[in-house]
Amino acid sequence: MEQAMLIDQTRCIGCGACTVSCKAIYAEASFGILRTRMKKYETGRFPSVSFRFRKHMCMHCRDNAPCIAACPVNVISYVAGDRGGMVSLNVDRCIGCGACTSQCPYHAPDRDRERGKAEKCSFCSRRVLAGQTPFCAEACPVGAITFGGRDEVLAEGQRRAEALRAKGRNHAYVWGSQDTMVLYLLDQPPRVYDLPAEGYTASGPLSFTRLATPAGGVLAAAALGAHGLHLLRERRKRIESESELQESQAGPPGDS
Amino acid sequence: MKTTGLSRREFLKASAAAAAAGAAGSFLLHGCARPETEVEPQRTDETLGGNRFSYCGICSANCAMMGHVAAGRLIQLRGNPDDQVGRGKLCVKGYSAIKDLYDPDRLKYPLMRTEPRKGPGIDPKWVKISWEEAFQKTAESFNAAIESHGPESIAFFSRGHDWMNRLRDAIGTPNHLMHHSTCFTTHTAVWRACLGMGNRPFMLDIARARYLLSFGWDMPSKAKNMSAQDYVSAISNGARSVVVDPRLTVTGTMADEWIPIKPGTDLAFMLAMIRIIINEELYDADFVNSRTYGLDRLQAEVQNYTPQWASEITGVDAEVITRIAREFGTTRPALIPNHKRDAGGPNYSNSWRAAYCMVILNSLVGAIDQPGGQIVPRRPSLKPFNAVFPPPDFPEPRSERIDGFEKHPIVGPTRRGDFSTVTDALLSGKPYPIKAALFRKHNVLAFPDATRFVEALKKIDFIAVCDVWPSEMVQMADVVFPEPYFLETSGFGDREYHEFYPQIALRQPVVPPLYDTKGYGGIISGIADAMGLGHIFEGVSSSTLWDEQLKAMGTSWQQLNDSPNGLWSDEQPFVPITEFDTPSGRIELYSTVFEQHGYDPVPLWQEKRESPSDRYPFYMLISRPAMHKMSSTQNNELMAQTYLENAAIMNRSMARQMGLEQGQEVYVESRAGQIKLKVQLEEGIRPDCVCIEHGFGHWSPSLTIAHQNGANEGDLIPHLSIEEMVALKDPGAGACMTDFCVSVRPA
Repeated sequence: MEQAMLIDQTRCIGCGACTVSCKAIYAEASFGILRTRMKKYETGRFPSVSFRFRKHMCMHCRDNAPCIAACPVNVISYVAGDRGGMVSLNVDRCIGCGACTSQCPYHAPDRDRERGKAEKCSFCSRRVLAGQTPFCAEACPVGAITFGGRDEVLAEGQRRAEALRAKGRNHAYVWGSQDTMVLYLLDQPPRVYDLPAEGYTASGPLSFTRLATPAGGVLAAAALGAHGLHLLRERRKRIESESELQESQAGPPGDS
Repeated sequence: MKTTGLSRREFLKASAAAAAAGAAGSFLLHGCARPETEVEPQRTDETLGGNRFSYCGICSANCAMMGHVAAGRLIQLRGNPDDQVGRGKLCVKGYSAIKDLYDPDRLKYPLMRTEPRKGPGIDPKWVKISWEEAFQKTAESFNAAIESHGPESIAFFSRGHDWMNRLRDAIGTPNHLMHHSTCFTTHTAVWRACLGMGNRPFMLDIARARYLLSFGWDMPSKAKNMSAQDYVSAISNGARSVVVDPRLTVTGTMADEWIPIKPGTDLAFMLAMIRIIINEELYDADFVNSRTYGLDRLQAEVQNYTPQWASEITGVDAEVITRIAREFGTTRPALIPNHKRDAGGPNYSNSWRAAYCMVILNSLVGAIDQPGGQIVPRRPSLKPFNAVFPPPDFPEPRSERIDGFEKHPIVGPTRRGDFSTVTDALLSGKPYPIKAALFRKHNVLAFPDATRFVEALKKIDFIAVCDVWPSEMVQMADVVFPEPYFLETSGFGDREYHEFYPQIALRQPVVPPLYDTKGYGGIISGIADAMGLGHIFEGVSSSTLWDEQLKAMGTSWQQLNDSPNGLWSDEQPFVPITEFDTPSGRIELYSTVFEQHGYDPVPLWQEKRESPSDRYPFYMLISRPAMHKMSSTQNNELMAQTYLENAAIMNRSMARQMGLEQGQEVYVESRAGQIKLKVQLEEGIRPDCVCIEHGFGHWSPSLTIAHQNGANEGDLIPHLSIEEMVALKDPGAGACMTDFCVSVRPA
């Protein structure tokens, strides 16, 4: 069964429990080389300011992972959905050239020059294949990491996003719901988290449908009926207001 | 860290730099290696068993944990799911404890110094000695001090400990000091006076509160496992959260509202709230009428504290103060969660009054010992050490202490001591000199005016230090006693910071001791024996103590060890307390205890001691990162990879106006001293503040990771004389940890 990890950044406290419990187990990498790390993103100006954390890690692209194409020695591969769904690196044969690091749109693999290896999240493949959850998901003290069957995890993310929107957090959405095994529940525009906007897919019943063009959008909306159409409009409005928000809330560059 | 040709520290720096460089080479050697999917070696195997029970020794939350051991090595630590505190999870510090255990820098055997000079930059020239030699040397020095200057010339700097307390009493010295006045005595003094029970006000039912108003407490990141879990759970369940804090914390950014108040003025905000809630009768009348005393007298005293008055002091709009007061007064359950160094902690000369306001406000909304409120922990009653092993008669110690702590009638009897005033006493030798001392874990970095404290230590002829790591205090020692890490020890602990019903967690040695160490009790017994005081511990043993204590509760040491989940629980329904241990039998909103001892019986407004000046234009804030426990974990390889060094955190616009850039080195100076560290620019801090996180600036070269990362803000904190401290009329004798201002300039 295809798996997914939902990282609820609206619950995340940025403590680093995931980082240390991962590194405690995957201890071969050098000091400072981490499979997952926490980054803080600030937005706004004093006193109208807020910040959010994001758990950085390999996103486990569902297909066309750039690192697979980039690897000159073919040691990165895609593990099919029926076996869990993940992007796997054979560290033993890795030559540490850094090609994957440079090609990854998320800058996820860490390059461990000391060991001459790349270091990246394995989705705890051993555990996942044995029906367990990754160490970070088990460790998170505030329950911000949910791991499980992709459909249920995605549905849970969308349920939470909807609940947050109902409470007035209008920008809550699930990021990455089509393209990656790692999904984020966010409540700020992707740019705030240094994420590409293309993975910015609204949650709700429409989230499986890529609405790249207006025509596609209309078709999808027609197929979904009146309720779907309403949601689509809402989504458009949200995206429009968010692009404004990106302009107005864009934090000062660089310091995070 | 195994690397050839590089020291551990150089290696650390090199690899961090490499990680930062990060660019990719592209030599396209198209290999023919077949990708494989199951390349991961097996990391843990729960089917092997090998789970050992312990509870965390890093902070006092005592989270119950399970250690997964394979081939004699601890592989992983996890939370115990049946524990009330951790509920199956640990915090970042708890998960990192594994690397404390295996820290190659740990103290491995007793040491004796051969270099008489002491201080930063001086090699103590350690020699390895036997335990007998260490005990003998310590005993000789202690006995010589007693002979020449009396028993009071011995000082103990250590948390209270049954064995140590008995040795202290047998020697007959009043000088026992702990860190508490730098940490929370403002809160405990108020709690004792107003409720008379429960010892500490820090158990909170945050998860069930519907309105959380935090004055400076960063629940999820600066605090304990259960507070983080409960805060996230409360706000996820729709509780409203308002945070009053000069700096935007994790609590603040997750909250509905952040109010960047002027530092040290929370008292005014709270006084205005009290006035509104009483005058508009928003309080929980049933609770106030049946459980509290003194509402009328309190009401009369707070009438001048209008929102407009508070607005001028705090810089917060009067309408906002009024609105928050009304929201707090009308949402149930509402709670001001408090914990140690929040706005009621010993930060300012007026902080005890803020702590008092917290108790009053929580009482007004009926949040004391009620679901969603501030709870008196239901601790198991443990038979005291002295009841199990009756002590011989000991001499009455001289009443006058070197730190003047006996002059504070509320907290004086706790003998917790004063880290702020002790430096003067040591330096001046007045009222009398300290000739020998035993330190346990309290590090020099934790003392106000830390550099001056190091100078003061040089006045002590002989210092013995018990520790796990070669800390700065160890660098000042004459004899060093290495202790085991908690994961190598036995015992049990209750859930004192989160105990809805009595519950005890077992501590088993997760692995056998790695080094030639002894527990603190054993070290104290060894010293006592060598001093000729062996009789005070005749027949005393931990196993007897634990068994007697556990049997008195209806279990036993054996039963606890056989327990399938490593816990003993006495689950009972929660029944709120209706009688309190005060003269009125109620929670005193007008404290007759304070009145009797000459303190203000209601928390009248008082300005803090210092405000910004031309010379020192910034308020000082001190915080702590989530991934470190004070100054004790900076050498932990895991924690250091998430947070390596501290910085002077400043408002971005303000710093840029001053020409400062991110990462630039600056001097931060106060009237006590100056430190050099990098500047970190943030939007979420008031422009008139500088914030530094505590625990860094280690100068012990034996801490190979922590050495020289960042700076110790303790060097900026002015010490106090006994006269100054007494004149503050603070029943908690708080050390005024941030009641001073600083300047910043490029280094």
